[in-house]
Amino acid sequence: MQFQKLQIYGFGKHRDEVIDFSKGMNILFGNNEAGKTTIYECILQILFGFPQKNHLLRSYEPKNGGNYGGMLSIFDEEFGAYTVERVGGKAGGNVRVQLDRGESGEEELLKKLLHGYGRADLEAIFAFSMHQLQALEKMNEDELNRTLLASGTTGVDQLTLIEKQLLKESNALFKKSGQNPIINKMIKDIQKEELALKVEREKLSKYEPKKQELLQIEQELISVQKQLEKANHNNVQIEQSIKNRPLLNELSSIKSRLQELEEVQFPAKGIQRIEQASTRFKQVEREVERVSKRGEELQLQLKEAVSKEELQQLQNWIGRDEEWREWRAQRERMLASQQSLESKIAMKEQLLGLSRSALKVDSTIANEAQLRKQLDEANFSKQKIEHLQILVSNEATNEENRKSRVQKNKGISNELLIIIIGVIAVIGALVFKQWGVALAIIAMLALVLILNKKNKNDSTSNLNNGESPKRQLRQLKAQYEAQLTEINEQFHRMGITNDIEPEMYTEVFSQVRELQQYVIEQRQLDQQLDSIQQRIAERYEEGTMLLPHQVAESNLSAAIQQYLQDQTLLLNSMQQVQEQLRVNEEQLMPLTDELNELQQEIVALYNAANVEDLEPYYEMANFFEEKVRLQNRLSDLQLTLHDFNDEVEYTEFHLQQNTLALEQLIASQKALQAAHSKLHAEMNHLVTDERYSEMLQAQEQRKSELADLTKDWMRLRLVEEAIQQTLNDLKEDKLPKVMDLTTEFFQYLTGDRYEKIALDEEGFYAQTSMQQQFKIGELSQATREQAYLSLRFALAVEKKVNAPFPLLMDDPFVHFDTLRTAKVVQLLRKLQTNHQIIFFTCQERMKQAFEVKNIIEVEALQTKGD
Amino acid sequence: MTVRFFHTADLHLDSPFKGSYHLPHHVVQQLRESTFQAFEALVTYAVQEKPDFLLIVGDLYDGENRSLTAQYKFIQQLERLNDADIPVFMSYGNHDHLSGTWSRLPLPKNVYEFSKDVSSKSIMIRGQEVVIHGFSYEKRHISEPKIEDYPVKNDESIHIGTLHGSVDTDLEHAVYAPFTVQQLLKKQYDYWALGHIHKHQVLNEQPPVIYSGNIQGRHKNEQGEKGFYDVTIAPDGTTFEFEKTSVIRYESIQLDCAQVEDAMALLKLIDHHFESMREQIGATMVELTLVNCTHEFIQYFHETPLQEWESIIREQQSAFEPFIWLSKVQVLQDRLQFEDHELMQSIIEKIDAFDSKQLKEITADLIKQPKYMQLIEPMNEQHWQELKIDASLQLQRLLTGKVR
Repeated sequence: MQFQKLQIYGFGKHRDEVIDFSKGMNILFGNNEAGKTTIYECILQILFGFPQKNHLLRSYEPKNGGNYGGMLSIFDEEFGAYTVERVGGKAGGNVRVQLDRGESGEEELLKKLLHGYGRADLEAIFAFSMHQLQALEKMNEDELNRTLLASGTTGVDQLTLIEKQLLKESNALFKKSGQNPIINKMIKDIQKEELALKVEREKLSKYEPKKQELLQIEQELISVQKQLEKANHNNVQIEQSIKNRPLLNELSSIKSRLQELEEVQFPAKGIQRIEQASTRFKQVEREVERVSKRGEELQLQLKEAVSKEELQQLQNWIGRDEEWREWRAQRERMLASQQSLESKIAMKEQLLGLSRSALKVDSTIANEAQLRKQLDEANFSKQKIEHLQILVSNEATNEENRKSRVQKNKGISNELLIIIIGVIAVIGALVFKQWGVALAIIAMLALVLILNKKNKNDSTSNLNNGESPKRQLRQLKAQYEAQLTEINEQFHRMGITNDIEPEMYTEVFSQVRELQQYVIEQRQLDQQLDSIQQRIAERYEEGTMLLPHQVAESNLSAAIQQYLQDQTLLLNSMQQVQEQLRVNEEQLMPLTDELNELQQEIVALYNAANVEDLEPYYEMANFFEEKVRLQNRLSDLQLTLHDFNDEVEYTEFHLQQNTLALEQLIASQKALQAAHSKLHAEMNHLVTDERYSEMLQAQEQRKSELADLTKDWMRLRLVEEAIQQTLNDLKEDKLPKVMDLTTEFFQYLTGDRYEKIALDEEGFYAQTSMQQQFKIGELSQATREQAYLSLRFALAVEKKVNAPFPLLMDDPFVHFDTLRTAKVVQLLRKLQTNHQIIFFTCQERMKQAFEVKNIIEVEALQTKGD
Repeated sequence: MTVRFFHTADLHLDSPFKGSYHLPHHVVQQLRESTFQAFEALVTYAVQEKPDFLLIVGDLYDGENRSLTAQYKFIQQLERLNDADIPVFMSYGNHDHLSGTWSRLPLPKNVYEFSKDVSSKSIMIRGQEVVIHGFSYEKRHISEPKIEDYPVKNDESIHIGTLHGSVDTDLEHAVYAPFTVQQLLKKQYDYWALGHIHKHQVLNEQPPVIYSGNIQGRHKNEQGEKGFYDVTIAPDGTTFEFEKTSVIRYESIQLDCAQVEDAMALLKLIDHHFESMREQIGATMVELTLVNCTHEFIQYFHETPLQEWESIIREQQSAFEPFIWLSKVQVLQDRLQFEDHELMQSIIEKIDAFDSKQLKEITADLIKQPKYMQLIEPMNEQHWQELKIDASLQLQRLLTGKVR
């Protein structure tokens, strides 16, 4: 294909310019900064697109705005004429392709028209620049070979470049024995990290043993603690022992002293009490003395007085003074009575012709009752006789009256008689103090009375009963005779020897009775007199005894009285004194009591102190105090020495030893505790330390990255390999074709210095006309360039078949010398017959080298366009 | 009597995340804590809801990684369950098997560990007897069908089977204590709690046979929601509900870039998508594939290295919380034909023609390095295929004149 025309709308500093191309060689001449490269770029960019923003390639978009782009008219053998117009728009510019034959399109069509070539492709084969040549200089054998290979095959320097790039990249990623490539480093890092992880894992696996160790340490700590306690205890004991030595000594001395003082006793508050007691004792003593003295004084006052009993007796006697007088009076009376009675008796004796002695008073009295009864009965019988006689004689009328009157009278008189006798008897009995007799008499009286009444009733009833009164009368008379007999009997018994007329019975009886009574009276009186006399005598005796001297009876009373008075007074005053003495005594008693008590107390105190006197008492107090003090000290000491057994006598040496052991134990305890804490912290750290998992995660990330990098590297390698293989194929296949042409060009360019350039297993080599073979690396820069150019040209020519692009040459031969320039120019002249060449240069000589119609002055373009 | 429990497995506490790197520190932190946070969320939910017990079916952590902190934090959570009186029945799987020599921290008393032989543990729940069957992995690989050791249910109690292993017919995963669903159903249990497969799935509805999956995805192949199952066994049937726990999700999304011409448009589109992802999903590790791109855009895109694109996008998204981390961005592009470009064509053909053997040779320098072999998983067929495609795409980019 050929470029026909380039229309620049706006590109770099070119604006509205048109360049017409001709076949064959086209020289675009311009100085530096004329814009040659710009046009070059313009062509390529129209064809292949504007660079994207931020692209490595520089953009030629006009800074002033305005149109951007241009149009290239091309003629292609296959496709015919067409235009490619690209203007600014979206990213790579908007392109429009228009074929003369009608089709139009955009990128797709363009690509097709360009035979699928990209810019790089095209540039690789059809573009020549100085840089490419210069680059050869730096290349080594290998690179040269590759370059040449590339140049000679696909012309895909691009491919080589790509391959180079890929190799660079893949080497940057990984080299088999490399140190720096990323993957190598990463592998090393990962391995290093693996070791670190292993270390960490080791640390973590220590957890279990650490746990065991911890338990063990705890056990040991317990045992050390025990030992420590024991050692401490020992220490304490030893120290105590040492400390206590003197105390022990003191203890034993105290003990022995206490032994001495064992007997020492002392009452509580002894001193106080003794002093109190003593003081009080003295006080009381003084008091006692005083009182005693007083008592003595009083005592002195005491005169002998009669005793109280005597006084009492005197009083007693005087108290009975009336009685005494009475008695004396009675005696007189009695004596008088005696006399009278004597006379009475005598009278009676006379009367009766009975001596008193003959009278059996006693039996009389005894029989009295009987006699009386008989008398009564006789009387009664008599009465009854009379009665009956009356009755017989006088039957009716005054019976009841008389009876009743008689009875009454009799009754009354009987009863009265009984009563009087009874009363007298009772009195008599009473006088003789015969109570029983009195009672009996009363009882008898009663009985008799009752019987009497009964008899009366009986007799009354008898009378009323109606027995024949005569019979009755006879009976009665008999009865009466008997009775009279009996009565006489009685009188006889009484001592009355004379017979007595029944009518005189009563009278006799009463006389007898009276006599009896007088006798009895006399007797009584005698007795009474006796008794009175006796009494008087007794009393007299009693009285005189009381008196200090004898006194006549008649004065006794007075004497006693007087004596009594005197004595009473005396007694009173003595009583007073006594009273005082008593009071004194009363005073004295408590005092003496108290004194005694005090004495006792003091004695007790002394006893309590086992002493007998005050001096020793005080001594004892001291001893006791000492004793108490010692005892207190003893108990203090004992308390202090309580747990202490002084079996073993410890010394300072022991203390030292033990202290040392103690220190060691403490040290080991500290160490164990430190170890424990450390272990515990370590274990804690292990379970809470995130480091390991962080490291694991980081490692995993590294591995992921490694995997990706590996993929990248592998991909590169694949491509590399594929390219390599392709290149090799090409080498095998395509290259030979090119080599012939290359040799031809090479020969020409080197002026036949070299006759051949070829490729063998080792690479490219050049053979001189002298048959010397030089490896491509051995060639000089100039020759390298010639070899390179030869290849490139050969390839370009070869390619014309498939892709007949014009050659674009950007002043590649600037550094060639004249000769070489000439040579290459000649070659170009040859080539231009078949190939369009667009040659950018700033060299005059190049301009002049070609008699070419088409020399485009680049600088002139602008003006032309205006 | 209803019995309610939680079924979870494959906690993989503290095992590292694969596939991402050059992550900023806070992302790494969050990734590292995500499994713990997920488990903590589970426990918090349990403390709140008070289920009758919790089942953990294997792979609690990667014992081989010896993580004490994992155990420590795990135990802290177990203590919380202990304080709430919730018993835990757990078994060990292939990653935390019983033969490992790592230190084991003591567990609180509400935890029951299954031993290496299949055994049954019975508890009374409000008068209802519940029997749980299970076993722990004695060693890393167990190829015997342990299912045969499970007893058949023959009483009125509730029977629950736990098994960490893989379905016999599943070739994708390595064969671990293999079983078939039929074998499970034959035991007549009321529920099968499975573990080992990280993708949660229901193999059978009634009675339920369920993989609870793991509670937090750990790399891009574990995408989507992760969590556990909340199960209630009632006299009239068993119901189960999936509860989400994952703190960070892995996702792959495709962006339609038909309207995208330049960086700004792309960034805007990405931002829009990420924003809605933040709202709907939360923290995400995302792989972007740009599809439906125009040629121009593809070329434009390839002018800038991928790392730079990634860097720009990440920078733009870095200010937002929760984070969306772009782990990879790529353009889906077709392979070009270089009909007119025989050279290119032939190179591509060459690439295509490589077989595994050749590939291994080509890459021998690296993959045969003994140091290397320990670190990276070996390539399989699929990987080689992908590699070849990538290589030809790369070549394409190179040959179309743009810088890679």
